[in-house]
Amino acid sequence: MMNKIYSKYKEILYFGFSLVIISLGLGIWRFFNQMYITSDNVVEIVLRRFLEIIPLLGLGFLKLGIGFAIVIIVRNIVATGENATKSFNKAGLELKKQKMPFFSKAFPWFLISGIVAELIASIVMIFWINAGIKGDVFADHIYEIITVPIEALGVALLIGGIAFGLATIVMNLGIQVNELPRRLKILVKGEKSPELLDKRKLIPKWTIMLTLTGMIVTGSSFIPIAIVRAIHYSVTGLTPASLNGLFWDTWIFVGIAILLFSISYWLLRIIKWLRNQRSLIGETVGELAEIETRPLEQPLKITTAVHSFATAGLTWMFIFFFVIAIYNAFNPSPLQMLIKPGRAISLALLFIGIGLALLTIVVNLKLTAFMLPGSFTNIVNVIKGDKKREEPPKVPDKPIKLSPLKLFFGLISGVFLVILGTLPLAVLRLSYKLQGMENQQWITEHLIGPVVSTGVAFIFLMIGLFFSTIVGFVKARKSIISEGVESCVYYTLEKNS
Amino acid sequence: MSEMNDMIQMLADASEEERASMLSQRLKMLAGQPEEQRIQSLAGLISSVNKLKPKKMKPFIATRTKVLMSLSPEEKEALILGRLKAAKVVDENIHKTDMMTTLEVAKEMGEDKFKMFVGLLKQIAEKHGLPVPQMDGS
Repeated sequence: MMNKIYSKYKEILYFGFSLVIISLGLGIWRFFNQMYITSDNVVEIVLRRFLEIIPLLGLGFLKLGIGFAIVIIVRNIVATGENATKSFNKAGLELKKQKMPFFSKAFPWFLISGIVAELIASIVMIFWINAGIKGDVFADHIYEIITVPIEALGVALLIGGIAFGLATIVMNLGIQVNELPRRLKILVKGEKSPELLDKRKLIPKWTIMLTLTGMIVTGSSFIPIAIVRAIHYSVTGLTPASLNGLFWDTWIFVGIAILLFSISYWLLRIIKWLRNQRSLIGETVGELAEIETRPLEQPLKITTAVHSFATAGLTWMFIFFFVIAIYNAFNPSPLQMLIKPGRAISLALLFIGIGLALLTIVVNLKLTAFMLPGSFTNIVNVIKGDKKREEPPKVPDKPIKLSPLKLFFGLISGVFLVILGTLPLAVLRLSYKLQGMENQQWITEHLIGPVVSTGVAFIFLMIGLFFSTIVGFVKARKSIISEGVESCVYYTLEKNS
Repeated sequence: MSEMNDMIQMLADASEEERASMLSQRLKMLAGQPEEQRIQSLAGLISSVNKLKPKKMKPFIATRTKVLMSLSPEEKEALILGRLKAAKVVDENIHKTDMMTTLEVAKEMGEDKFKMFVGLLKQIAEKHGLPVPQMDGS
């Protein structure tokens, strides 16, 4: 049953996107309600609470959709390895199964737990709305204390699940990229079974630590404030208005930035393995079929830019957190209006980096799809003793032309929406503040959330569609490698008998 | 079979140039497979092509036919023989639709190429004692 649910990742993506779009509409309604129909307090009570949770639930479903696409990718990569191993076993290549690290099995459960946490937060929200309408201050406060940390936990589990899903791809792909050419060589040359690679060398430890740190920072971000609020309220019976929510709100963004930074580095590692796959298979075919190996194309310049965007995004978030959010927590000032645009710029930089990495991955997958079948044809011909050889595919002049630029530009539109949703609104708020229009200033602030959520939703949808494209290529790779190895083994056995 | 569906969908969505390049490599690989495996692979291929929307199916089959005609005589024979034998593995309607569309696009490629293609089909079918495909795809 779970397989069926995982395969519905596209539907989940669109469902999440529609929740965010509905929230945007309600956010605009809230804006006009506050500006012109201030007497209707119930609408404000409902919308305030609804817009605190539902856009995040929508983004949660989008993250779930991305995560489930990654589950499908992982399963296909694992199945590729299993199929090839089964075929190699027929030829007498004894291969021990590798024990996988905790996260490779746990990451789908991170994703499911994440969305469950967000759904629980949404259920608590219904009680929160009810308490608000009834004017029950105690319940109203308690529900707010409960729901926000659960929401943050959901975010940590979902993004952490995506990051660990990518780590699982890195590990499995790393094993296959290095093992497949070695085993093919051993099969054709009739050598002994190979020693297995040490999988610890395939996954950078620091990126795992970074992913875990990001998850802990994000997941725990609202717990301290919830505890302080609860104690303060139980002792004094008052809402601790002086506690700076914006500080903790920025803290969660620091956690998210760390997670996105680690995701960029997992994607870069995938790019490395995909290039290695082509070069190692190319070398093996060259050696076995005695043909000239074509060098790989120069690495795309955009790959280098991924490092720059990821580092700039994370650094910007840290600078903002330490310089402005902490300063503002102790000395509340108009500077606080810069915090949301500052965070948005940091996320935008990180997402551009991720988008560029995904573009490079698709280019590499296409180039792999061009070269793999011909490589197997050559190896099969060598085994059959056929002198015919397939020319290795030509290196394209402009590999970037193979990338799905439409998806990248869609992602960039989301990035612009995120920045436009914060910068102009921040300027508007500042002008209201300077004119002493405190109420209008807050009303404008309330519009930032739904607009930024819409931009982020657009980015997530495009990332989800990138992964959907990758699913197609990974399935194609599975067919080609499984069938190719099976043919090689068949003809080897036929030759040996 | 689902991975084959995805692969065919991906190729159908690609540009004509990319599709031709990938299909050429893929068909050469299939031609080199052991016969049983090749029949299964080709049966999967035509079943997946049948799932494409008509707007995408015809251009796909057109590229496939052009690529097939550009292969070596041995590769052509291996693939056509595998395709004819795959008719027994797939649903009759799938076989008919695929064969009819293939003959239609072959006709659109010009009279000479069409004659050459039909002649090759007949020759291989007769050589291996298989029924000769008719113009209605049967």
